Amino acid sequence: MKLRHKFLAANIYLNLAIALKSLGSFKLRTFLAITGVVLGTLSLITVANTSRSMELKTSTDLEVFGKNLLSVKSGLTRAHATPSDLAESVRLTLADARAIKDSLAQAATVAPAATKTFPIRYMATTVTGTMLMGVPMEFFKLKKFTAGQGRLFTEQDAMAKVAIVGAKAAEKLFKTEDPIGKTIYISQQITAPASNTTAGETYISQAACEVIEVLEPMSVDLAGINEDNIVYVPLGTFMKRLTNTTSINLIYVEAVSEEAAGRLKADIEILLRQRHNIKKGERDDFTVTDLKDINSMQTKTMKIVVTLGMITSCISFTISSIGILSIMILMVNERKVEIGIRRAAGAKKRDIALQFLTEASFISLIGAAVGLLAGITLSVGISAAAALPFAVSPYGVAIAFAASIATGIASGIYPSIKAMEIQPVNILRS
Amino acid sequence: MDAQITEISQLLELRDIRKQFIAGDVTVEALRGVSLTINKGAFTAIMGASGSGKTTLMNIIGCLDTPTSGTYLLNGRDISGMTDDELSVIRNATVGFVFQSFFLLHYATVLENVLLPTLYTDSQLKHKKTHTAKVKAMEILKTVGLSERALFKPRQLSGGQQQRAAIARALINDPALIICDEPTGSLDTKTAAEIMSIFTELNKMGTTIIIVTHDSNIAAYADTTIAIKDGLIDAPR
Repeated sequence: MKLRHKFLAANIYLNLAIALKSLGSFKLRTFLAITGVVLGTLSLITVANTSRSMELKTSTDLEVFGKNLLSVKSGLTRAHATPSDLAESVRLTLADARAIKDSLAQAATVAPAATKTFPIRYMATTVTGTMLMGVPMEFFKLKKFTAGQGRLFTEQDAMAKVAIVGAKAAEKLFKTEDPIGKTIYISQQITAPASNTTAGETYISQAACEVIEVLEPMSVDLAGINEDNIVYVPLGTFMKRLTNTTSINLIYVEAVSEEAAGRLKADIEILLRQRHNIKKGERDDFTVTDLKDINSMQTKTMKIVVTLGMITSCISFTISSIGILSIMILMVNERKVEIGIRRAAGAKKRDIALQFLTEASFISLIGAAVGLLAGITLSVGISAAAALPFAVSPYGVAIAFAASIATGIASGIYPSIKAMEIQPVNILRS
Repeated sequence: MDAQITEISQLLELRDIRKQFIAGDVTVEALRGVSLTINKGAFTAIMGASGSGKTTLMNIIGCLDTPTSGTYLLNGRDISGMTDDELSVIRNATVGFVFQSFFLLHYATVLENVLLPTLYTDSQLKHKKTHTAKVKAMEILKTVGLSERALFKPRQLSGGQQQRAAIARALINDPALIICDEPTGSLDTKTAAEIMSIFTELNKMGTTIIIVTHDSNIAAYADTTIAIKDGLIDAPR
């Protein structure tokens, strides 16, 4: 029995060796047919791996953010708002934050925050795309940020000229220098009013802040903010020294427990509607987000991507099966004599059919192997670019291989039947 | 006792074999009642002009085709009513073919070509396979004088060498019968003589050989000649 297996393996090997050589005479067609399978596998694997990465990211996020964290943003989220809605939105205030803290028992920690983009300068380097965020000391505890070499804000820092920089912002400003202890300048360009003698000229007001800490690289947070490209200053400093406003645009709220988070979300909505005098039937001028919302949004996006990927790979597999079908028909026609001589040498009809099915599947499998490698490479790239953890989806790999073998077999059936019908007596005429 | 010996020495027997082909409205009778016996170890030539029915007769003897009526016994087994699969098994184990155009797979090596019939041999019926098949193939290539060319492609060989490779392929499964269809038709006289001497050698070692030809010089190598004319056996010479 064991010998039989060895023998069968040797047979398949020899048959494939012969098949490969005959494929060599249709190089371009074989290449095109294989390309279809490669693309089909590529899109399948990439989509499967990326969605697996997203899943991993979401579950890591849940741990990092904490399942009981909520964010309140002024205005509606872009998905629901028109530009005028956003412009007219009543800003959140520190009083709103205080009200949440004081009147809602489920709110354990409340951290109001304000954001604005200012040009920030260190020595000769000025960075413009970096966001400045005013935060209270509670913010870091709530976000589970910990101090590294420097320190985080304390009570004494409420109005102090100190700053904490995110990893990407630090890289942009300081390159390879150690930022801690250095002074950065937060500048506001002000255009002189028309009445002034220096009308139209701009002058710059600058606030000097000492960098006291650099944060570890993170990613996009609950409120959709890229935490790495931020410079944090104390909220008091931000509101009094830099913007001179009373409005804020973000409130982070931590619920006392995971179970309380859902109720707290509803309570915050009721409270803020009251405080903002929003009548029944009118839309909120703020948005409360919890992780469930983020997850469902990500899931929706991912579903679209997965569906598109699946459609792409279906089309690719269909095209490649037509390609394989055409080369297999050519191969059968070109190899009529071979079929005749194999039949004369004792091949049964099913041996011939099996041979061509194996060849078709083999073409497809080569494509699948190439597509698998390319897909994994591409998903490594995507994960790196999108700051996602890299993952290989075993389902994706299994489906891709099943689909490619199925493609091979499906496109090999008709040529195999044609091959079976060839009668040696009609072929082997001298 | 006498009958038993006859039974054993007889390799094949055709009794009133007829073969009809239907082409449109016309029925062509290629064989019109052929009866013949060939013994083990015989060297027989089947001669006839083209259209005489000799190729049809060869196809039936070689189990590539079945007769419309009549009985064909090969090694004592009735072939006439066998299925396509059963005929394939018989061809694989019992018959080796050599054709005028060699019919080697040009993208495979000589060795792979020789091994081709072993792909369809049940390992449980035959002795230990795989690498021993390769060893055996090399031995056969040596006897036909091609061991140096085992890893060559057929196109790298001369016509005579290609036909030797085809003969090696026909021999790999130790067939009881070798059927050659105009084996020297594509070769020059000198090479043809070399090929025929291989057949003579094989016959001396006990292989039954049937050679189908229209060339009386080639038929002269055989011990017996059967002439076919209009689907019937002409008077034996």
